[in-house]
Amino acid sequence: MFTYYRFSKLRIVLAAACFLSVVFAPWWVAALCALLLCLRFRAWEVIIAGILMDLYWMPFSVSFASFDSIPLATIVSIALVFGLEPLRRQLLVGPEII
Amino acid sequence: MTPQPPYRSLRRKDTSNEKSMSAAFIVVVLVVGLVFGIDKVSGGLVRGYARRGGASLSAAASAATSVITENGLLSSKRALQKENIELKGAIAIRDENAARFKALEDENEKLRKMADLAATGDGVTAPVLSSFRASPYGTFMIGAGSVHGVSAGSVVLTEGGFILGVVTGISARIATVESLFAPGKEIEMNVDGNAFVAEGRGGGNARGEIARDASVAVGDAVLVPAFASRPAGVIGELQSASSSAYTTLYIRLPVNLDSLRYVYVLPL
Repeated sequence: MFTYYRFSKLRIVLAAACFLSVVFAPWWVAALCALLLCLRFRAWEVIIAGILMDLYWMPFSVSFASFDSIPLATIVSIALVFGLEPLRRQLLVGPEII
Repeated sequence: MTPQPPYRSLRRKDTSNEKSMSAAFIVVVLVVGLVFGIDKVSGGLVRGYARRGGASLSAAASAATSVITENGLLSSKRALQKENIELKGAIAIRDENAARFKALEDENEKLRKMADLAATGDGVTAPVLSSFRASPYGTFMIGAGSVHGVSAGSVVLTEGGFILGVVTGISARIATVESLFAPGKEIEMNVDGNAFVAEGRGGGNARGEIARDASVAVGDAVLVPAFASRPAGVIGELQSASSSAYTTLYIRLPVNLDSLRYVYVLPL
């Protein structure tokens, strides 16, 4: 089992901070939590937080006709989870190394 | 000497991992598409649930913060000790009553200004339910919805009559307001008869350019022709390079957004 699949206190704390900051904190706090989570873990919860952020704050329903209606947070969260996978795989290959 | 752990190739595992990640990516995209698709088809049903949940959370947090603040739990240790001593005497009780009276007086003043504004129109006064700085889209929530006569397109004003934004999403008791100065949003504006297009910068700020020879000054009110020439802000700063034909205007709302507790909503 790779270490970055595992749940840990750090992951739970970061995920809770990420979800709370979606509603209460400036957007960049949620983005920072998401980045930290995705650097260390394959954090699927980041995508859920991204969807929540878009559902909560977007002024219009999703459409690619205008910039206001593009679900940016969801797109960024998916990019973080999948885009950082090669980096995670290179740096966090197993419990023997960490 | 400690024996070295045997080298284990990860190539095979990596290949299967890549396949599973590709499959996961497709599943994620499909699920996300499904969520937003249902929301669009249902006219914002999913967003409504998310906002109701978030607004309830905000209201609970706000109430808890008020209780903690009123109780003085966030004061420094010395202040708490002092307060404890004072609370034992009659003077402290009077101080507390005076503070409470001051808070109520401030709130009453704000509501009175809102009532004055309401007397000039058919709108409603609504509490602000969310932070102005949390949204990446320059939106915020207010505690008025369709049952209060608010509809999409309603204009939201400060107590002084400055335009804050326009209602874009609506449910029964909550509305989403898109700030007039949302990041990247372009607004046609007018200052002292000079028309120009301003670009929102978020946080109640915008930036625009007008001809260099236009006679404008810091503090001039900036109007929005699309909303019956209501004011949307004031000029906070002017910048003009000697080589440029334009003057850059930095526009700001003359209110502290963080302390704004009530807004006024004008129906369409």
